[in-house]
Amino acid sequence: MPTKRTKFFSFKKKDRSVFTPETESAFVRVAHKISSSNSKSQIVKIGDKFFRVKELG
Amino acid sequence: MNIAFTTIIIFIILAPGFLARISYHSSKLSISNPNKNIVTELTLSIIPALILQSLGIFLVNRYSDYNIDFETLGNLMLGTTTNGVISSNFRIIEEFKFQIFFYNFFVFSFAFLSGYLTRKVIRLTKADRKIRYLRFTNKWHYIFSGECLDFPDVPDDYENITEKIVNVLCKVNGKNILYSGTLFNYYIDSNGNLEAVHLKFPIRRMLEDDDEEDYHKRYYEIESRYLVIPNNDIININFRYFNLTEVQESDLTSDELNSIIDSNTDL
Repeated sequence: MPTKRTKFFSFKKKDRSVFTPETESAFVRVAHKISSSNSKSQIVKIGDKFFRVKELG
Repeated sequence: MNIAFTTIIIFIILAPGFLARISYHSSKLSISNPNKNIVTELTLSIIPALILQSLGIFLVNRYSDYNIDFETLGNLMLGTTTNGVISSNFRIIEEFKFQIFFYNFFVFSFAFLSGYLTRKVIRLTKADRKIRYLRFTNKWHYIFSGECLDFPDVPDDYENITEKIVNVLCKVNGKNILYSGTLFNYYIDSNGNLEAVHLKFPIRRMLEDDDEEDYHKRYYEIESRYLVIPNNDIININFRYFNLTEVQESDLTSDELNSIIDSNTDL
């Protein structure tokens, strides 16, 4: 069972710069192709950009 | 002295606990049911009220020129009917009316502030995610926000979420339709039940297409950026939390290059 270190404070800001409407919309259309049973990250190409995608949880 | 007066006195004594609970629960994290039972609320307020009143009494007795008159308070609460005692009690109240008012004003204000600050501290330290007992009553918040990833024994962290994809299975005109999109918002009713899910960039397909070999290609876009799905139509909801990081093509390994999911060709 994975264990986690308790982090009480975290003020890390999310990098939202990649989420243009086009990127977000395209990601919705490919999300169902990303395997949930794979714990490794997968590469998704949206337009001419590449994203390393990892499903969390 | 009648029972109504005793009830008012008890209400004033319990009011700090009541106010602390109101300010603690006055956020989207808590279900605000307007039909809640006032007796239950007051009962749950007893312990916080006793703590806050004890603190107030300690501060007054220790740091002011006044002392809390428990004898008068007891007479008022127990509803003593002796004429001399009643007049004496009300004479004392008349004499110290401003002190009594300011004591209650400060205790009430402190109670409201302490409820608010307690909520802030619990959220800041993420104690509600680690300790089940401290979790707020709106359970949907933890699921929709993805904070459930911070629950004990769940891998990964909430902070790493950059995208949330929600798949909502609905029954429309007797047919099962799967809607997908990024999560925009959700709505609950006063009892904490889910009312609707608000999706952004929605797409959909028939669930029966699961049997088709190319079911991935059966999705079609809805010409809208936002879609609200009422709970009446929902059969179940699938949540997926993702972390996306932009990378350069030159940084990819040969394995990664061979297994790229291309949004331009894979639809």
